[in-house]
Amino acid sequence: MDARLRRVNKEITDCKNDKTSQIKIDLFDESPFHLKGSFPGPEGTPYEGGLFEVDIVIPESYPFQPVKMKFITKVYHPNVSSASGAICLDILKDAWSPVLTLKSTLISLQSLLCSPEPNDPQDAEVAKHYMTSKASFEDTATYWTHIYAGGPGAKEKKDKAAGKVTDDEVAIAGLERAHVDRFETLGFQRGKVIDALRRLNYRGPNVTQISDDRVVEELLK
Amino acid sequence: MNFLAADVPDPTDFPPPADAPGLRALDRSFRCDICGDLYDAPATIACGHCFCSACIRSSLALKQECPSCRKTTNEAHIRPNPALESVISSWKEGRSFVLGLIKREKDRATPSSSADKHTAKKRKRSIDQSSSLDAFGASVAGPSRHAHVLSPRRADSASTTPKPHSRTKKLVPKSNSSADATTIPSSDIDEGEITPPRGAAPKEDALVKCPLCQRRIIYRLLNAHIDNNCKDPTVPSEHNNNNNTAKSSWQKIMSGGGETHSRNGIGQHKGKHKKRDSDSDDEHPLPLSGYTTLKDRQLKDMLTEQGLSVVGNRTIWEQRHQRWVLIFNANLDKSLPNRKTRAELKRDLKKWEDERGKSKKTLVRDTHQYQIDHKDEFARLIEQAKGTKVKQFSVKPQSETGNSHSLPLSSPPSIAHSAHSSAQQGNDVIVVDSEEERLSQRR
Ligand SMILES: [Zn+2]
Ligand SMILES: [Zn+2]
Ligand SMILES: [Zn+2]
Repeated sequence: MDARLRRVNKEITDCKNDKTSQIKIDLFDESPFHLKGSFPGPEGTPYEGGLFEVDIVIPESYPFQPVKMKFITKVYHPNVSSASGAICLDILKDAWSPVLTLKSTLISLQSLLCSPEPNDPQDAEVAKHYMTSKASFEDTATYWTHIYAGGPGAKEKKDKAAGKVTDDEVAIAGLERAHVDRFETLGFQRGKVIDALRRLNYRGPNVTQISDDRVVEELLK
Repeated sequence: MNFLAADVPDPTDFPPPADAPGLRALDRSFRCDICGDLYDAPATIACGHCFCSACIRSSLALKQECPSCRKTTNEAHIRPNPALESVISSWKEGRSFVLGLIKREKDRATPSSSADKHTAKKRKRSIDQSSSLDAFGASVAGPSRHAHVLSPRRADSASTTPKPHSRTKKLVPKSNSSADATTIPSSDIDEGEITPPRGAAPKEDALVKCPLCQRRIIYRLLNAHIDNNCKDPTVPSEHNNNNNTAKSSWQKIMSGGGETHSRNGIGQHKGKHKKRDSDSDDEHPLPLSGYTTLKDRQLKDMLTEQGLSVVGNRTIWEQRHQRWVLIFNANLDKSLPNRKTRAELKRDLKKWEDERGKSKKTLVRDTHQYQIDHKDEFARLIEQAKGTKVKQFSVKPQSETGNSHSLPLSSPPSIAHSAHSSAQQGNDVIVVDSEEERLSQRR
């Protein structure tokens, strides 16, 4: 068995034997080098109660090259792409060290959920939302945890019927229904309104800063 | 390959501290933080941290800092640690012995279950919380997005090294553990334990250097000499050594069975003629090479000079030479009696190339067929994977450890860039043995 395989083997064993860290590592498919990690969202954060799954790929030169990780579960967080799950975390890049492990890296991801770094964002729109109104951001992040990570209150699975725009999408975009309604009554399609307001970061104190003309201009783009 | 089913020896082979105080910690402290195995050619760098020589050399080729504390360092700072090396070789023996004693003790205490215990696999040992501190889980990065590289295991180095990550903290609490079914891993020899490297031990009347005082001594007297704190008066001096038999057997060991070395001073190679007639321990480490400026011809000459195959393409030649330099130099960090011969190193190199070739092949292989071929294995792996159920309780936010910054990183040398990029490209299985080489060239 080569060194990489031995190390991955030991790491998985270590995780299995460790009940206190709440980190879980499973085989994804047949390969020992494509794994699925998961951990519960940290208490006292919008991610509390959710279970977050991570796609793990172990490169050939592991542990000398960093492990590749991205969120499978959709996460609303400044350092995680809301679309792809890509993660902006230094230890996954040039701050990697071969003494770091799958478990310690997953714990670092868990910690990242506790302490967003909006100044070094992966998702610029989410970061703007966070900086404009933390309360509104947390509402949206909590909502995402409910519908995507199985957090408490996830009664209604979102309706994915094609073309059907529901209020869920307003919440997913982190907007207020009243604002969306107002521009919709001007004759714009609801989905377009949501997109435009999200791009403009039409939230919190920004609402008074952004003129209706500016919104209409964005809608006509 | 058998992946999770394989018994890979690790500290959890021993009972938890409550049942066997110190044993897990002892076994853990003999393991390299990079590979998790017992130290192979332990080597210390300037900050005091210790790794297998090959492990730290691989790491430094990509980033010139200590993997544990991030202090800037480089290959020139690597020093062998012969004292630890001899501790490890004793522990390899003692480890199995102690595990055997523990098992016998356990079987006697619970005779009814001894039959079960006897066949129990290590993987099935009961889950206990203290094992969170084992193997790689010794401690984990604190809740920061910035690097907290941890080296929690060695208190000695912690005391002598400034802590760059003062906020690093254990997220995994120590806890009292419950009973733990102890079994001996069925493949304890998996990491080469007990069995010394084949052919590496000198003849018993051969003259070797004491790893501690560097004086020469007859191999059969070495243990007694070390036991006697190197004060043994019977050590023959270098000058009145007329033992030609010992000398020649030594030379055979050092040269890997009488291979010839053509020298043609190509590339970055500095002169390093061996003084074969006087001092057989005069092997020098090979210099690290930058390959980008070398012509194909020069690179091939460098391989030939080391007695290595020139099969494959440019990328493979670079990888092969770089790996050879690494394992050759790492081998020199072992004390003389433990060193491998050139021939053994070449076998290691071939194994390394084969394994890389295999893993590449696996990727491009038909996955369906692969699944069929490995059906039983997958079934077992899936069973094992299902064996653990995630427990959903939550983590307290660790906001106090928020915005620390990682230490500045030195930029890797250009050699690392070329090595890395080329590592992505190579895809053939390479043979090193000259016979196989001829065959493959004929194809
Ligand atoms: Zn190692
Ligand atoms: Zn260090
Ligand atoms: Zn001595």
